[in-house]
Amino acid sequence: MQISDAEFSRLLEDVFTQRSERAPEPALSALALREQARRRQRMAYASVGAVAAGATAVALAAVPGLGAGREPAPGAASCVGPTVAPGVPAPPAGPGPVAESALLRSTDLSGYRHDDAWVTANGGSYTEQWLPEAQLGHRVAAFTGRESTVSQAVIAYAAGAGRAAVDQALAFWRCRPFGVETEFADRSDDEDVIALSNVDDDAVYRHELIVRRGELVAMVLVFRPREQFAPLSRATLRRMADAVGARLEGRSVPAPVEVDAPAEEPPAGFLEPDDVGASWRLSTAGLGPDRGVGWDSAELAVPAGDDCASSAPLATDGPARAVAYLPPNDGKGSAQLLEIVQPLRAGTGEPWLEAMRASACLSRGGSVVVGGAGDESVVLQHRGGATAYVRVDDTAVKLDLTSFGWAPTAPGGTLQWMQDVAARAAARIRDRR
Amino acid sequence: MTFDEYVAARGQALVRFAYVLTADAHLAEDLVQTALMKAYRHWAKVTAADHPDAYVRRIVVTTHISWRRKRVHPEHLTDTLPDRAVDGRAADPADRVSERDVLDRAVSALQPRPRAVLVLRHYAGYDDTAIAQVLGCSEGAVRAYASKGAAALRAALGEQALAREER
Repeated sequence: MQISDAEFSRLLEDVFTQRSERAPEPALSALALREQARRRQRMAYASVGAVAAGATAVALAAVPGLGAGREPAPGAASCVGPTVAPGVPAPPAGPGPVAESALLRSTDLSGYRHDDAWVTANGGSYTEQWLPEAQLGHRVAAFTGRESTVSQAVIAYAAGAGRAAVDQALAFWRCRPFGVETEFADRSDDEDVIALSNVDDDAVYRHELIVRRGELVAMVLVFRPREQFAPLSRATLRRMADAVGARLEGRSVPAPVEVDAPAEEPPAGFLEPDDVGASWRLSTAGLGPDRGVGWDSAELAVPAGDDCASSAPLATDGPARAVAYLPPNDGKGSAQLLEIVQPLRAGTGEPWLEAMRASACLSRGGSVVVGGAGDESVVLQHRGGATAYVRVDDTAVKLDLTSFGWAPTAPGGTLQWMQDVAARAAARIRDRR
Repeated sequence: MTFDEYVAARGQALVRFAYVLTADAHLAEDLVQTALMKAYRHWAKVTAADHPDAYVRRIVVTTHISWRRKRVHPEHLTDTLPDRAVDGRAADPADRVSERDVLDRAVSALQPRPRAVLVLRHYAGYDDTAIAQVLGCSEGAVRAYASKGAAALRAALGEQALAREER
């Protein structure tokens, strides 16, 4: 077949125009993009860059339920995505056989309300086009909590297609560019209950619940800004899946799911929020709902080598634990203070701080103050925040302030502020003894 | 123009562009988000450019090529042939639809650079000079990519016609 250049161009333009008309309409959040960009940038230029850059991934791996104990995504050896052929009819826009009662209600999620604006913004549609040709109808709903969202699509499939649609969804998630972990995946011929988490390299934690009852499939997506929240625990995901399953079966949800666990007291030996500053609060952020969760000891290892990429081994005597604190929401920027406490083997505390103080990596590009808190301390200010290393006998403490426009108003600025907080952290450790 | 204003004004157009490039809704979103984050980090540079939109599109294209190179996000080709057209190609609108389907699939199968050239030329309306700037190559290379891409697409159309004649 010979077609002219002009006809070929017209055909190609048609193809691209049609593609553009099929493009999704995501609600891009400039705020989320900015925060994520800042976070990555901060990681890049922090004076303890090598340590910091590895911290998030390592730290997340240390969050219970999100670390080494997790299973890889099912069948991760091969990566075959969904096959959506051009020319396949679009799925029906209406609810079809999906009853309103199959959706979650706002009363099922404690502290969340219906977000009709989200549904409107998305044209009452959704992007999970698994087996579109076998879809009979769908309904969507969205809920907004404290800076987090839960969106849900319930899709009815033709007889025998529900499980295949879930297979396709799993295949897709396995192929995401960032790490997707399987929290649980209980599958049978009649039902599926699957939870996937994507907690790497992003401004938000994303959790995807896939719950199937026969040919009715619910896809629930939970977005949680990582500056404000922890990733959801497996237990919470399981409770959400139970609620979703109950609604699919037309049952009520016995008790609302506490998606955002209320703040708890910090464990003994850690800073009280008031120690950090007036109206500071414990974060449910980044650390999981349990305060003082396990943390990676490498955060306190002494960086070594010219590129600061390696570190001297740390003589630990038990796990590191961490707590995070957030400043008041007063519109003056945001920040997070992370406190990590690491018991060291007897007699190794002093050489640890000495090595830390001598580390050339730590002094790059920042102001350094030695002494003043605990037995010894090193406090550094750098672009993006400040860091303090404190020794109390053989207990090592790291305080890491990541600032997004927030700065203390007290005289002496960030460096003095961090020294004061470091002194109070040391005092809390001594008080505990 | 602030970053927020840009995202509000041009975000959707960028997603459409990325979707034309990838034919994958999720990948397009990932691509645009990544490109916007990169743009934000150099926002002063972006706004200082003669054509900020072209600057961001360039990031989208180069990021796409980079991802393809690293194969961190495979694209999904279809394994089902589209409906075949009946005889009488020129007269029957179904033929036209079928040709588009064939082309759509063939575009997705192209290597990233030839594909980017065709998208920039036939969707974004860039001339070869502008495309060369986006891809960081010479205009001659652009023409070579375009020729290579067009040849592959024409071959796909030819196979379809051959199959039709055999019926």
